[in-house]
Order: sequence, then C-alpha cells, then structure tokens
Amino acid sequence: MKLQIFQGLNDAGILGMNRRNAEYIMRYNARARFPLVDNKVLTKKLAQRYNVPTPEIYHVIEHHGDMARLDEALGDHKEFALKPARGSGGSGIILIVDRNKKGFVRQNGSVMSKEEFNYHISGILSGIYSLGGQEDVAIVESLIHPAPIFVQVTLRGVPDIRIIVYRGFPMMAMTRLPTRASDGKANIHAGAIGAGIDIKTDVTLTAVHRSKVITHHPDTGNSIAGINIPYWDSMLLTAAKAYEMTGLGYIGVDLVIYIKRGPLLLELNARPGLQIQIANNSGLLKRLRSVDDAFPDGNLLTEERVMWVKDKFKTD
Amino acid sequence: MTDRELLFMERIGKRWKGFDPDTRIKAVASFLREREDEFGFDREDLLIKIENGKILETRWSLEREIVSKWRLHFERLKRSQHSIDRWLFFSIPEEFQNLLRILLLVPLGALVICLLRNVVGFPTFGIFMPVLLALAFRNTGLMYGIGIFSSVVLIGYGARLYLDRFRLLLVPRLSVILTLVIICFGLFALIGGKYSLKPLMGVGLLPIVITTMSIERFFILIEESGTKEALKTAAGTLAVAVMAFFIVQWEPLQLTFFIYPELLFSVAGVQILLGRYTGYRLSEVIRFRVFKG
Repeated sequence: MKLQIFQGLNDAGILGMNRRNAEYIMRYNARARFPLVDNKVLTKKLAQRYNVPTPEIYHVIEHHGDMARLDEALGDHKEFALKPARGSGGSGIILIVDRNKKGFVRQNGSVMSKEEFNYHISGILSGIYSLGGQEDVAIVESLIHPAPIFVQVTLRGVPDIRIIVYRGFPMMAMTRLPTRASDGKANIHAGAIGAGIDIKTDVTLTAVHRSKVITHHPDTGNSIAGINIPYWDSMLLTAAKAYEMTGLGYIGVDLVIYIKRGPLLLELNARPGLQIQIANNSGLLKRLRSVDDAFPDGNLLTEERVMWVKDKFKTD
Repeated sequence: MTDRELLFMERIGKRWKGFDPDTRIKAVASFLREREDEFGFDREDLLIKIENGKILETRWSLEREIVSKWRLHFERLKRSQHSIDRWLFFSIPEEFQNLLRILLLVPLGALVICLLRNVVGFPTFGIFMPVLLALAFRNTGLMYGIGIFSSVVLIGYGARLYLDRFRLLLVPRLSVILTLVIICFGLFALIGGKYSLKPLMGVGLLPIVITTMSIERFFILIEESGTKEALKTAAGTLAVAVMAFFIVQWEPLQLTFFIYPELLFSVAGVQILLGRYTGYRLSEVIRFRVFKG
C-alpha cells in the first residue's frame, strides 16, 4: 500500500519509527544484549576488552555507603563527571570542574554543596534518571576536555559524534553541538544541534535544530558546515567494532574527541533516533538496504566494512 | 416486517406476547385522552394542567429499558438447542453486567491507541493511560473529567516544583504526590457534595496512581524536553482519551460486544495486523517535511 501522502518520505528513503522498531531493532538487537549498552559500566568493561578507549573511571557508587569513599577515590583529581550508569539522553549528568571547602564547582559556575551533591547521587541510585526507572549505579569518571574542533559552533558542554552502525557498517554520522537551549547537553531532544557528517570525506554538512534545517549556530552565529573532523578513520573503525563488541545489528555509537587522547567511546545506544536523517538531508533506509543488497549474509572484517562504506557513500 | 413484530414484546402474567408498537401507542394515547380531566391532558398534550391550585412537588421518572430487548434475545437463546448458547453474559447478575459491558470495549480502546500511536503518531503519557482516563470519564462526564484531570495535574505540577527543593527520594516523593492527588480528589468530592454536582463526586474513580505518574512524567518532560513538548504530549493524551471515551460509551457497540464477545478475537486480529505495520506514521510527514518533493 503506497499512500500519496507518504510518497515524499518514500522517495527520499526515509526510515520511519515503525520500520526502525520492527525491521531493524527487533530483528537485529537481541533483548539479552541490551544491558551491554544500557548500562555504561558494562559498556566500559566491554570496551576495555576490545581495546577501545573510554573516559577513565574513578569510582562507581553502587550503594549509599560507597559515597563515603568518593574523596579517597578521587584522590588528586579536581574535576570529574558524575553520571547515572543507565541514564539516557544526558539526563542526570553533572560536570564538576573544581572542588573546594564549599563543595563542588559545576561547569556552569554554580557551586554544589556536599549535601546537594549527595542528594543528586541518591537520586541516581533510586533510579530517577534510569531508562526503566529501576535502581541504578552512579559513575564518577574523568571530565572530558573536547578537542577545540567545534569551538566556533558550541555553546558550553561537550559536543559528541553519533554514528549509526548497521550490521557493523557505519551508515550515517552526525555531530551533536550543545546550545544555550540544550543547557550544554549534546541531546537533540533537549535542543542541541545535529550536524550531518559526510562519512566519506569527514566534513560537516547541513544541520538540524528543533526539526528545522539550519546553516549557522543559533547562539554563536558561526557557520556549521565545512568543518573537518580529525581521527575520522579511527572513529569509523571504533564504530564498526561496536558490532563485534555487542553483537547488536542496529546501534548508535557515541564518541567524543578528547584533547589529549583522541577519540573516546562515550556510550552505545540500542535505539538510536531518526533525527540524524534530517541532519544529513538523506534517508537511512536506502543505505541500510544497499548493505543488505551487497552483503546478504556477509562475514567481512571490521576494516573491510569501513572500506566498503567509505567507497560507497557520499552524502548528496 | 416479521423482525419488527418480534422486536416488541410484553409480558402478561407468565406469557410473552408480541405487539405492534403503532397500535399500542395509539391505544395508550386514547386511554389517556379518555381520562383527560383526571390527568390534566389537553390538546396541546400538556402533561399537567391546573387551575386555582399550587403544585407542591412534581417527580418525574423516565427510563429507557434496554434490558427488555436483551431479555428477549436471552429468552430466545434460553430455548436454543445449542449448549454454547447457555454461556452468555446475561446469565450473570445484572449488577456485574454493566461492568462487563464496559470491560469488553476496553480492547477496542486499546486498538484505537495502537492506531493513533503507530499510524498517526500521537504522543501520549504512558501507553494505556488514555483508556484508563476514558473509563474514569464515564463517572464524571467528559467535560468535568477533562477539567478535573487537568487541574489535578497542574496542582500536582506546582507541588512537584515546590517539592524539588526538599530533595526527596523517588518513592517517598511519588508518595507525597499521591497523597496530594487524593487530597485534591477529596476536596473535589466535598465541593461536589456541597453544590450537588454529581460529576465532582464521581472523581474518586479517576485512576489515582496513573494521575500521580502523569504528574511526575509531565514534570520530567518539561525539565528535559521543554514545556512545548510536555503540553503536546498532554494534549495528545487527552485527545486519545476523548476518542476512547466515545467508543466505550457508544451503546450499540456495547450491546454488540456483550452479545457477541467472540468479536474480541477479531479485535485481537486487527491488533496483530497493526503490530506488523512498518509504514510511516502520519506525524512523520511533518517531522521529515524537509524531504517533501
């Protein structure tokens, strides 16, 4: 059944929510493997086993009792990030840039008292920010200093890079740039910008902000398109490797470029959003199908998959 | 014509007798007309006419008796040779029948939700909350229901905003909101009792836990995705609830499902079909409008 009203989406090869759920997530993402990506502690352990660098963990708080050992675990580190292990969309994350007698200094300059900080942790533990509302674990890890690639087009916060990987093939990529509206979060739903990245040439393309196509950052006014992204090949490889790591056939791989260490794996997502298509001004479905057409079963090596993708796709 | 004759029956003594409604109504009318003086009927068909007097109290009672129509069907089935015809919802006491009439339509409400979420793309709080709301609206009426629900969620939101500074843990915090919801419902019932507003007294049947969770979800959605998104979701929830309400309230549908509950299998069938729908949602035409043409 081809309805006239859907003709435009169909012609552009847009992947819709229903098809994503039924034909990709349900078919290729086994339930049993979801914890590997939903729980950041497990993701980090997995990444370590595959030699994929991630932000360094200082401390994991599983029970309220673990809070007492935080000072000891932090040692000399003045700055760190506090995250819920099962959080989604960047909620519940607190970035601390300094510690003093009054408490913790957040990235936006406000000071959190020790009491407020502990309250936030107990909020995380009780599951306020976790995906299904179950009890959670809090992670204290190193604060990311992003390489100054996106400095012109970022307002506060850490820009990250999302790559959609289908059966181990990197399919589409975008960078998520925090805005004033998103309050420093690299979360599109919270108002961050998503800018498409040409997989073949590592250059940023058009961008999407609140479902609209834009060319300039709303806060800084600088042009978003045309930024070259360093370490691109290495990031594509990491993304492709996430397939071997998790066994999940349809995932979003989130990376960040650390000023000292290059690309780090931030987290994986088993239900990546569809906004990336607007950011790339291109439909995902036709790309996914081209993989199925070329490799009905396919047992390619990680490198071979990346080579094939770079050869095949060029965002129009 | 035979169907029509069968539809109307009356019981005299222990026997059922069919009658023609047209002649019967005429007979009743002429019976009343003969006693015009007694009953105060006149040519304009006024029910009561009075001279030099004062009406102290008038009580009216008009009822539409559907049960008799069912009973007819029931009687016929009772004499049926097929044993399966004895397994009817009519055989349970009437006080439970009403509940079942509604329950049998809940799957239909769920079907509407499937349609609206997966084919149209409505955002709603929770999955089945709109149906539960629709059921609750039956006791309060649609307008009152929407009004009460909206105001309780708004009051709850205000309280939640205030509670945020006390940094309560999740479960106790939800409990506080639950308590507040109950207090609100109690107040509404009291106000309803004072001004004899029945819909306000029926408020107790609004789903308490669901209302509590909507307050929390509403708050989190405002924090995370902004007021616009939260209001959109709230509007979507109410719209779906209203649609489900009209379905559950539709009497011919209630009776059909009550007499033929096996229809539920076909409802499940359509639900399975919808579960295999992988096409676009109508909302995606708007979401991906940049790709149009």
